Amino acid sequence: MRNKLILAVEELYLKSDIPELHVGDTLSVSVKIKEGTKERTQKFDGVLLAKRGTGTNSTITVRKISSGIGVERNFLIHSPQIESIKVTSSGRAKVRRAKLYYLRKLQGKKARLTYSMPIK
Amino acid sequence: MLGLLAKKVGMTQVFDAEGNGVPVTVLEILENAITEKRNQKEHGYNAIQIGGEAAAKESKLTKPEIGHLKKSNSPLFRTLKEFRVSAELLEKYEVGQALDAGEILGEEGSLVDVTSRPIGRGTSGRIQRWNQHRRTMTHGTKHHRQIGSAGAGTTPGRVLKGLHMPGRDNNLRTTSHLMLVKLMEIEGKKVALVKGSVSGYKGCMVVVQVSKKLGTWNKLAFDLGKAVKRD
Repeated sequence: MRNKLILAVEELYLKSDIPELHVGDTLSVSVKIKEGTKERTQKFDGVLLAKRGTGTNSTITVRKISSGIGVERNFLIHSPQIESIKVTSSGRAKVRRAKLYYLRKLQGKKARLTYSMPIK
Repeated sequence: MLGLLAKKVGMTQVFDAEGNGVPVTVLEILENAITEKRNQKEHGYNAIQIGGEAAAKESKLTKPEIGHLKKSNSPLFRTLKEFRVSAELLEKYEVGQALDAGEILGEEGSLVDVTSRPIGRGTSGRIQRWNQHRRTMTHGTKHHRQIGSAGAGTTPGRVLKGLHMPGRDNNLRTTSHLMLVKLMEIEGKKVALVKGSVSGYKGCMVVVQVSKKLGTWNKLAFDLGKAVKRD
């Protein structure tokens, strides 16, 4: 059980517009990047491998294949540096694990996930 | 310099203006009502005594404590703390008045010192307590983590004072200096977020004061941004 006062403090920093995320979803994460004085957004598209933490400390691990090399990034989802998180896959992925670390060892067709039809 | 009594609630993570995660300790600022004023003429020094949190029952306090608190019509404070102050500051405050956290600590971004007593390590050996080395575990030796010699024999015929030995470790009051603070009010409670960690178990009493190091560490204060120097 976490302390009520700490939860109340974290509440002030939490975002309300984060979609429901499930492990196996393909995501498009927009990250704010500062280059000198200019600010731009960069997109990171990939599969959601793992979710961890609660409150302000909740993070997600997203994996993508960038020119043949697997790249993973962890995001603090409530950070103001994250502009938006969008779920681009349709329906839930058919997975039996909470952490999809086994995808790291798989390539090509084997690294695919099957998705159920979206619930209407 | 006046300070405030607070209770350590625990740690969490929040975000600064740039979106970086910042580790913070949540402190609940207690009632901090003045229970007594001590002056040069009567007591030999100027000080203000404040009370922290009220006890649940009268039986939790001793009769002398209750008698002392009744003199100033105070609630049944469990913890009292005295701060030495200047004569001018003594005149500014009345007995029974509650200290205002914003006034004492300054606005958001000021730097504070937080004093508390760490959890401690209990009885610990010389290796953990004094960073000494272990002797070999093998080659037939039966002396691994023991202290070894405590000194010479007949001369001096005693163990010299201050020799590093095993014992109770890390249980003395410590002060974390120059911590960025942010005050807020949540569910009717006054809360201070302090950047970084504070010694002590959850629920322990801490003393929060405007940093004493601001004068000598002005450059550092400047680097941390928005620091304000106060008297």
